[in-house]
Amino acid sequence: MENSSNLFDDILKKLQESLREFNCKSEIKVSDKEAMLYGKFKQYMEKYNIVIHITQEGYTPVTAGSGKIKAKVEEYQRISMPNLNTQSFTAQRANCSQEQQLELKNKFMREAVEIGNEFLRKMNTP
Amino acid sequence: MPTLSNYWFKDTDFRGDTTFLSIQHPAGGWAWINWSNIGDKHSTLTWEREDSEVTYDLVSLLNTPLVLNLIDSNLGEAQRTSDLRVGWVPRKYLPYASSGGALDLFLRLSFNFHISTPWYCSDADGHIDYIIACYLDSAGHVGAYVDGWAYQYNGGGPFCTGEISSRLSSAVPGAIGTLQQQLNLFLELLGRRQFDMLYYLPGSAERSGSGTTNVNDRVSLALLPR
Repeated sequence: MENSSNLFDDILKKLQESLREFNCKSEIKVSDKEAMLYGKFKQYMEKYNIVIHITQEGYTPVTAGSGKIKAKVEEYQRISMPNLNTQSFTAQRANCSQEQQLELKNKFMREAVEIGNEFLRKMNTP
Repeated sequence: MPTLSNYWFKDTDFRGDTTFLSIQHPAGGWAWINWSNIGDKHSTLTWEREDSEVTYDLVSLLNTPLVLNLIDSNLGEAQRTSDLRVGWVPRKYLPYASSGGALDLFLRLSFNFHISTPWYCSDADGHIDYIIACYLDSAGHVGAYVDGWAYQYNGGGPFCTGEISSRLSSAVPGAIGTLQQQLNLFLELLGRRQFDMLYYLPGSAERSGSGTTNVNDRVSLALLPR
C-alpha cells in the first residue's frame, strides 16, 4: 500500500514537472490505491484541462466502510442488553415463578379430581 | 394503569416504518385495539408497560446545540446536512460481523453529510453511523459503549472516491473517543440510580394514541427504576 502511494507520488511529480514547461499549474492527490493529478493551462488562446488518474490494476472504487471496536472483555461479561428474542426465560419475573405456577396448577388439578369424584358420588346417591 | 403498546413494522425483524397504538387498561382487564387496515407490514411487537416506566426520547435528547456543535467540530471538511437520528438495529443487521444474539438491539446514531470536491469530481453525499450498545450490569447500573462505525455515500466519481473513503475511514472511527467521553459523562450521572430493566421503544414512547414513526431513525430509551 505504502509502495503504491510512493510510486504514484513519484510518477505524478515527474509529470507535474513536465507540465510546467507548458505553464500548466497542477495539483496532486494521492491515497492508498489511487492518485491523480489535475491542472489547467492556456496555449494559443485556448484553455485546457488535464486529469491524470492512476490506480492499482483491478481497483474498484469503494463508497462504504465499517468497523467494529474491540470491546473490553469485562463489559461483555456484564452485559444484559435489550433484545427482541422470545423471552420465555424471563418468566420468573412474573408474579410467581414458573415452578410456583406449575405447583398452583397441579394443586388445582388435584382439587378438581376430588370435586369431580364428589359430584359423581352425589349423583349416584339416591 | 398499565399500558399496552402494539407496533407494526414494514420490514421483517422489527425494522423500518412503524405504526403504533398504545392504550391504557385496568390491571387484570382486557386492552382493546382495533386495527381497521394494517397494510403492508411484515413484523409486529406488543409490550405491556408498567406504571414505573421512565422513557427518554433519544432524538430530542441529542439534537441540542451542545451535542450538534460537538459533532460538527469533529467533521473536518464534511458538513452535517441533517439532524441526528437515533434508531435501533438488531445485531444481525449490523454493518460488520458481530457474535451474540441475532436480535440483540443496538442503537444507531446517524446523520447525513456532504463533501464538496474539486471541479473534476462530483460532490459526495452520504451518512455516518455510530453503533452503540447499552446494557445493565449485575448491580442494575446502566452502561454503554460505542461498538462500531460505518459510512456510506454516493458521488465522488470518477476520481475522488479513493481519497474520500480514505479520509472517512480514518476520521469516522477517530471521533469515537469524543463520543465515548460524552457517553461516560452521561452514564456517570445515571450511575447513581439502579434499574430493574432497560429496553427500547419505537418513536417517542407515546403512552396513548396511535401514530407512525421509523425505528431505524427514532427510538426511546425505557428504564424501570429499582
